[in-house]
Amino acid sequence: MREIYVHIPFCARRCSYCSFVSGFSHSEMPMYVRALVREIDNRLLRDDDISSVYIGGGTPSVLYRGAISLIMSHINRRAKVRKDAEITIECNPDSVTPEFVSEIISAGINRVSVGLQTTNDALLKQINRPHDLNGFIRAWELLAPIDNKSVDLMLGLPNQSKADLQNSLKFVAEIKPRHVSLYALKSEEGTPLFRSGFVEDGDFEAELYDMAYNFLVSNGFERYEVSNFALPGFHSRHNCGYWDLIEYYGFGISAHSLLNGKRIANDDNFNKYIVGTNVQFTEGSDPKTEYLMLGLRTKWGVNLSRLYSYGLDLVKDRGDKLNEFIKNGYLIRNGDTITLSDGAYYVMDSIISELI
Amino acid sequence: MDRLSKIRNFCIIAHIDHGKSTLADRLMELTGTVALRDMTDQLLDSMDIERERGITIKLTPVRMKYEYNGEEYELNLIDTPGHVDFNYEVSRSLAACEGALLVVDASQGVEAQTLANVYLAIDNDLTILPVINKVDLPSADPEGVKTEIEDVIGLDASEAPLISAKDGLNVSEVLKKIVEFFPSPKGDANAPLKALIFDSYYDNYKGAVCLVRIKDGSVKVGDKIRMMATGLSYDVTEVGIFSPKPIPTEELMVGDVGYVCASIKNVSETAPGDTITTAIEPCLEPCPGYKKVLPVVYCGIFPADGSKYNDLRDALERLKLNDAALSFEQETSAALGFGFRCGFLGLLHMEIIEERLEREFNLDLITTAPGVNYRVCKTNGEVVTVTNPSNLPSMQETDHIEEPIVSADIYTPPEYIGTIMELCRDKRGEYKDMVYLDKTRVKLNYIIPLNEIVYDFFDSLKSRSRGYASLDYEIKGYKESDLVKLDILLNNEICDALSIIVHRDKAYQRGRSLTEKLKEVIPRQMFEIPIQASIGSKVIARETVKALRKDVLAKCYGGDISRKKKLLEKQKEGKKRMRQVGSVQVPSEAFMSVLKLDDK
Repeated sequence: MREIYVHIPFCARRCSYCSFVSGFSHSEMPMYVRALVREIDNRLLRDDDISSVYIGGGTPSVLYRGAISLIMSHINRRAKVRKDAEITIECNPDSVTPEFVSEIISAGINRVSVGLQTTNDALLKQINRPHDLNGFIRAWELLAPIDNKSVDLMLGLPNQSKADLQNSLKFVAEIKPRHVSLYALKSEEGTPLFRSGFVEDGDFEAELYDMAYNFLVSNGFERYEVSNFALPGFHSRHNCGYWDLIEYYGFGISAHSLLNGKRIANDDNFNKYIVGTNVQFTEGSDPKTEYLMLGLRTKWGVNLSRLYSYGLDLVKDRGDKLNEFIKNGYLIRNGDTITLSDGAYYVMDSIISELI
Repeated sequence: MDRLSKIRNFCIIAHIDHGKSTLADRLMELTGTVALRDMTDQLLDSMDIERERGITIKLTPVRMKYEYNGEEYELNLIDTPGHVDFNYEVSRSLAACEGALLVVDASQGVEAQTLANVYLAIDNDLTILPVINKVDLPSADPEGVKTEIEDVIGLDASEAPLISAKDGLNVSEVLKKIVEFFPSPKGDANAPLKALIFDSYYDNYKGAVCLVRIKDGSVKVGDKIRMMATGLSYDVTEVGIFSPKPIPTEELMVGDVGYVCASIKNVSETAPGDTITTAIEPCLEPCPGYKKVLPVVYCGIFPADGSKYNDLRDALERLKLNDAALSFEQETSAALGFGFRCGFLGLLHMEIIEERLEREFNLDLITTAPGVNYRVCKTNGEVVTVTNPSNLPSMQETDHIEEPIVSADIYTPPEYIGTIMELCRDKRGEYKDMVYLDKTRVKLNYIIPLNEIVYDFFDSLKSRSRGYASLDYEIKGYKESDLVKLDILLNNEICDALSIIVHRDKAYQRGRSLTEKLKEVIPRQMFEIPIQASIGSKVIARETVKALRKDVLAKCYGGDISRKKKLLEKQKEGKKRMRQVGSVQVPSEAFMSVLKLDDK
């Protein structure tokens, strides 16, 4: 069983905090899509068992009509995509049109993730998002035929107050998505945000996070990963696959794959990708570290026997630290399973870095 | 007698940068001791640190042949270390000479350090020939400097050669004067052997090599010798001279300067100032002035990486082979693990050892605050000496504590007198004397606790005087003082490596600056960390490191995993370099950063 990720490096405009590979000229979309389907045809194993597809970016919804269908048809032509597969596309409110919605439905897409970020128009403008709240509402109505929808929210935006986040959360509770992703803004080098001198305020961010966590939980959402909340049964199966070390194909520039125990990265050279001379970098995966660092991010935690099978005997090799963390209430041991306590989620790196 | 009249033993006294090593190089060149092609600058300073700092730590004698009026003379140049920490070593090497060249920079004039060594030379009855160097510089004022030498030191400078060691100008004049001006050595060739050890070094093949000046008699291979201070006997395996590389000879005779090897295992058996004599027919009196060298400054040295303990021990043992003044014993700190409490002659000696450990042995070190030897008089009448604050007896057991005090001479231009006196007062100094040496130089004399000198006195002195003031000190004894142990508690546990012994009046100030500094350098952790300074059970200062609220990688999906794994591994590596004090992780820098605090 494998998953597929498809990277679409185009956007209506670039958000001030974005450090992803994106923002190429829209006139190059057809060439890119041709290269993409070529890569799919070349690399995707015939009849491979596919449990989920995720089309992300960038902003896949800015693609011209027919592109999504073409990509999906190439995937379906080669691999065996399961009947109950989760097939997700990311979209931005401003590029959601009736035509887009009908195309993705006919292409078999059954889950959408919409970037709202905040309901405060002034903040949206400040981070250079191309939509406003009304635009989101319009898009949300158009997407009504798709039941499984997720909303992205951000916290820690420049000048974002607690009240701003509270308003966004209340709005989300009203429109009732199945899933909410809640990301802290990160000021990455090379972004306009970073150049503007913005520095994250970890303490305030943690307060906002705690507030959002409490709100979402009291509204029936469950935190199944540090940044992801879902109504029961609606967690993103695709993303859970990453944290569970399920193998996946990554198609498109800068996309990563985990195949046959190796992590493979496509380079990020657009022109080479177009002409098919791009390079892949391969490194061995390190399942014991990866499983530990990823598993602990989730509500399912890590299974000690599975970790042992990867070569790490946590109880024996890290016994002192493990017991200290359990004693101090940061970790919970339940038989063969270790999970983070609620209070430890937002400082988990301090814990994980001691265990790996 | 004729042989002795052809020998001259001399040393060079100079302030740092006044050109001692350069002059030595020129002398060797002119006498053909070293072929021009073998010249690298400053031949005598063989250690990297010596060359970089422009100081001499280990002595290197050299024999030069010089023809004067058709007769061949043997000139032995004995180099001297140029720092107050090595005062005793200087005095021993001076005792091996009859003459001293006093090199003075023609534009800088006489400096404090030069003075101290000149007085040592006068005490040792040396004939002193002033040499004015760097006369080619535009700012040179040879006549002014001559007057200064006459006024300040009281030496006749009328015959002083005016030279430029760098260009070789007039250096031959210096050679001539050495023969004419300096007395030849005296001694009895037929008396029992009496040889002064003025230094020694360790050689992997020969063992400890004694650098000696033969005062009476002679020594050759096969002789049975005895060290008069230690009483230990050895068989001589090799004798020789330096030219400047060691060259074996058949015999060293009265008046000679050279080396003696006798399969001696350790330089601690060849203490400078000791006298070598024959085992069978010893001389009656040893050379005067022998002292056992005792360390005065102590600090803890720990490997930054605990697993390097054995490497540190090996390195210290290697250094000790060549440095009898270095002492060390194993010390265990709850915070820093296994390491050593090391004793040094002074702060420079300490810095040099630390630097050599890091540089020559590639070790990362954590050092604790330098301290001194305290004398604790207990209520039960017992007197113990304590160098490590952790070993201080409890207040209940202590009647009183005494600390070493020094007589400090500070030389400064007059405009800084005010600020320096303020510094000395602040350092619990007791004013003794002030002398105007000339219009531009004042000597201040204070009695100051050594404890204050080792803290940051020297740096403060330099910054207050824009680098012009210099310091020379001498241990004067012990004095009762109201000293307390200041502990630092991290999350309510004492961190032994941060404890210091300090005067009660200074404790509050120091406690505050320590806690403030630690708050800056200890990273936030998952719980709140109180940082307290306390005397006994009384907390006198407190700061808090707030609990860490956020430490999480925001997004972690397919593409990120390799990169984020690396970030976590880096974080893990960072933690490895931390020291665990109770539940608190303390970076190595924290221990170092408290060594130098800005006292306001």
